[in-house]
Amino acid sequence: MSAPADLARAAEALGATVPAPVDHPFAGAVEVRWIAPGRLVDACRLVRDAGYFFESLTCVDRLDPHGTFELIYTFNAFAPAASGRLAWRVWAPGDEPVPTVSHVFGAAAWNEREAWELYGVAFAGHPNLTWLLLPEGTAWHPLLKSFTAPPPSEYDDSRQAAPAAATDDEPAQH
Amino acid sequence: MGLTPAPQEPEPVADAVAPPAGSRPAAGTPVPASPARPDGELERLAEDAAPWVRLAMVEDVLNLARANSLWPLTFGLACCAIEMMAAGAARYDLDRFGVGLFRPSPRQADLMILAGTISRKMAPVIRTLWDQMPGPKWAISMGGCTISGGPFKYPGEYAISEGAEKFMPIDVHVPGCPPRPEALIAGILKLQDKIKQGQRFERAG
Repeated sequence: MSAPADLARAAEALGATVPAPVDHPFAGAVEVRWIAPGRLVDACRLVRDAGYFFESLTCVDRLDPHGTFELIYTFNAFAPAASGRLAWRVWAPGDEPVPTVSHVFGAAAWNEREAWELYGVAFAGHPNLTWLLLPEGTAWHPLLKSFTAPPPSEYDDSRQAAPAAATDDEPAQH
Repeated sequence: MGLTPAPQEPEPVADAVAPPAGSRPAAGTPVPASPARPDGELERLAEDAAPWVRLAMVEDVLNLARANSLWPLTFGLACCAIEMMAAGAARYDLDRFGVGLFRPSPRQADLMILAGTISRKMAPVIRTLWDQMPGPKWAISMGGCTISGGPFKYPGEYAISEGAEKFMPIDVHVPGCPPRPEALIAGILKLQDKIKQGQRFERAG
């Protein structure tokens, strides 16, 4: 069991991460590192082997020039030596898939499905990238900042039944 | 319905051949005329029988039975379901009204209590369950969400249906967020009154 600081330094020594500003009161993490999408799986393996568990995956629509989405992977451990959360932050371009970490942390599969359907972030290698909270066939991503209102559902108003929207956002093939 | 006494056998007409029971008379056979009944005979019969026989519309009796043994579908959507379960449990005891027999299959249920928020993903499922219930059937919408979308109705809302009435017929609305068990019981009593009044129009859906 290693402290978050040691683990973050080890990941940095591997060349996987870059220090990121830590805002502990705001984010609740004691160590935060930037990470490239290509090194994400390695960095997650390192964290898992150190005894941490996957806590959450948060996605933010940043509208930033060096990547559309910011993914924040948070890890924690029960042992007192851990003494706080560890966060890997990933800038994800909107048009390229991010590698899945569901084979490292099984619970991440659920969060990745949620990020996919609510933001449209694709995860390469995900075993079952399909709709979790929205109806099957939903072709829009409601948590995008460009989203204004959903198209009418055929179960929203029986008098104005709209034809089912064409699905142009199929689950990612793997 | 059920008011007319059994018709008496017509007197055989002398010059007509009586057909055997269950067979159609041959073409050209004169149909025996129905026996003429003196005016007021039916009323007199009913008057004579009144002390011993109570004649009622069979449909009224059926409606009384239907109203007093409603079988709801075991079906909870959100927090209103907790109040519905409380109404079914010992303190409020829906069994007093004959409504306590929650059925796990839509084929056995004749009342759907929509208790809770209806998400867009759940709406087709609810519609399918409603279609699977055999008629006559009734629906109670419980709580603000199933009436109009409740607290989830705002511009740009993407996940919640704005009320059950958008896709299925509802008999009684019970407002509240969530309604207390007393309110659900009041709604059920209102529905029972409605059922006992009988069906005046053909139901749609």
